[in-house]
Amino acid sequence: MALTHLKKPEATVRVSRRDFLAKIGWGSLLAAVGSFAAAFMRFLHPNVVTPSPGPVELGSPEDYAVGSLTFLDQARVYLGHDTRGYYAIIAVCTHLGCTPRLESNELACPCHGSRYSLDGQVITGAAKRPLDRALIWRAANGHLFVDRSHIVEADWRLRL
Amino acid sequence: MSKPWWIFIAGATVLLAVGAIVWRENHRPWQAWQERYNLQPNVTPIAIGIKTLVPTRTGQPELCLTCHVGIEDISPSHPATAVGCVICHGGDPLALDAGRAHGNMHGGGNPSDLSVAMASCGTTDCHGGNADPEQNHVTRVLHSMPATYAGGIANVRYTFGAQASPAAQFAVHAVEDTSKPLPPRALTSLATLGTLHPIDAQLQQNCLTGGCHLWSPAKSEPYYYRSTGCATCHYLFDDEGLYRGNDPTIPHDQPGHGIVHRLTTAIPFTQCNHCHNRGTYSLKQMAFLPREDLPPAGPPLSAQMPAEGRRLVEYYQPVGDFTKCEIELNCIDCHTAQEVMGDGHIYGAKPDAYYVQCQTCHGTLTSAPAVETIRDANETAMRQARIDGHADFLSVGDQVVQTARGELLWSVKQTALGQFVQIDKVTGTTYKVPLVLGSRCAQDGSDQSAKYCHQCHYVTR
Repeated sequence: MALTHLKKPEATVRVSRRDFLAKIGWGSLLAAVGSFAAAFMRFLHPNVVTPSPGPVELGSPEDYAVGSLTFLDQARVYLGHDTRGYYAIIAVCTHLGCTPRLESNELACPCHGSRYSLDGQVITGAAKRPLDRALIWRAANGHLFVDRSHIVEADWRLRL
Repeated sequence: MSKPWWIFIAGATVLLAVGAIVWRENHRPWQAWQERYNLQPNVTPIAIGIKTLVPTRTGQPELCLTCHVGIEDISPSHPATAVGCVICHGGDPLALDAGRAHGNMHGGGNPSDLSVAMASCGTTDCHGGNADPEQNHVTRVLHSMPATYAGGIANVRYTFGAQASPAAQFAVHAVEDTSKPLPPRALTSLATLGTLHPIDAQLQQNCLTGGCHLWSPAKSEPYYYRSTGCATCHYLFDDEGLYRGNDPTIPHDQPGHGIVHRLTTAIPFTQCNHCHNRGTYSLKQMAFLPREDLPPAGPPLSAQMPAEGRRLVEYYQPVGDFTKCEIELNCIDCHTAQEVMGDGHIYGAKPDAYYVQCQTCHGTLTSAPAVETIRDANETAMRQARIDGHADFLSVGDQVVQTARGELLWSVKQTALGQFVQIDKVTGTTYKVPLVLGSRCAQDGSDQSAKYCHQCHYVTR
């Protein structure tokens, strides 16, 4: 009895050299395949992601008083609110793509001197086309959203 | 060999290979550049990672800033966020190893080299193809005398009997002007200088490959460092030719780089002097003879001199006289964009192409300088004032000096009191411009060359 008791664990841990090498070999292959799989999964998160221009949340409509024009850098739009409703002027100069700034009742592009009126019409400079307008809407949570990839006419307004 | 050995060797080999790939993936060159960027004392460290730029102009992602982190915007008119890198430089915008990223670039590191400038700076969307020829800068420069070197070539060939008259026939590279009508003294074409005469080969070897024109790289020596093409003038170098910006990939200790990655129209006299006032040309030896009063390297000769007068010693030929305005103002304050970069037509001699004279701003014994009123905010003069960073100097309705060829000198205007004031385009300093009219000047109205004015108006060294 005592002998059996002594021998038994010895028998379970004994692994032949052949088995040992085989296990390492298969283990290595498994690890290699696993690494390849992990590397493959990385392709789901590529180095380059083209940011989608929208939709971007703009907050509550009450934040924008009638007569205001507010630059929203996250969305890169000027959100306006006049008596007819809300509108979003895309802050991308139609000449080269720089961001026009609000300067003394004009939207002035710092790159090539294009100047737009506050409704986006070209006053002077290199730009030949008015600033584009983007679609805005009120979502279920009551907040305004903008989608810069969806262009609307200049006289379009969101009425609430 | 039995089967387990094979499995062991195969498994271990594949594992090692995978390990090597994983290690390499995590030790990419761009990571080293970003780490090096973070070590610079004057920067805010960034998180290590791939930097994607999506310029609004193209909407196409570019990864260039992953390595070139910290590189300066090339100009306020060309911010990377709007223009990106690839429009000008070409290359592969998505590659993260230098070899692939820099394949098929326009002109290596200099997309304004004249061999590629039409594909980078001069495309129809940019500085070519405009309805206003004045704005087609690359076309103009390709025809200009600093690019053709037509006058120099003609004079050398004529002197050595290679051609019967001093009229220009050849250029560094052939040019043709098909526009009609041509202004007075403009040429229709120039052929590429070949080897028709023995002197042609010497001229090419001794002069045209060594920095005498915009196609040619400069001598790689202190004082001479500069780029080629548009960047010859618009990309500033200091005398040591060292990069002093924050891009870790541009070596900071190897001469031959601009001060920072920046184009400017406010070109200081120091930039012009990388070519001009550097020595003389010996026709007898067919060689450029550098000035001997400047040390080959090290601190400037006049480092111990008082600031006043240093410029005259450091930058101007020991021979020759210079007026006060020539050593106080910057070269571009008189030599305008149209004069230096040309009007788009081909000329064969300096007197045919250059027209700004002392009398342009100072007038004559009988008349004040010619002036013209600025009528439109989109006029070239207004645009130039804004680009040079002095938009406040000029307004619609101002009267500015007009050259003999009708170009408006936006930087010299007449005040309401009738006085003339000039703003230095580089420093912004304003000067009152003295007039010949009503002065004690005894000029000969028929001789307006600078040499003539220098007889009385010169600065003593």
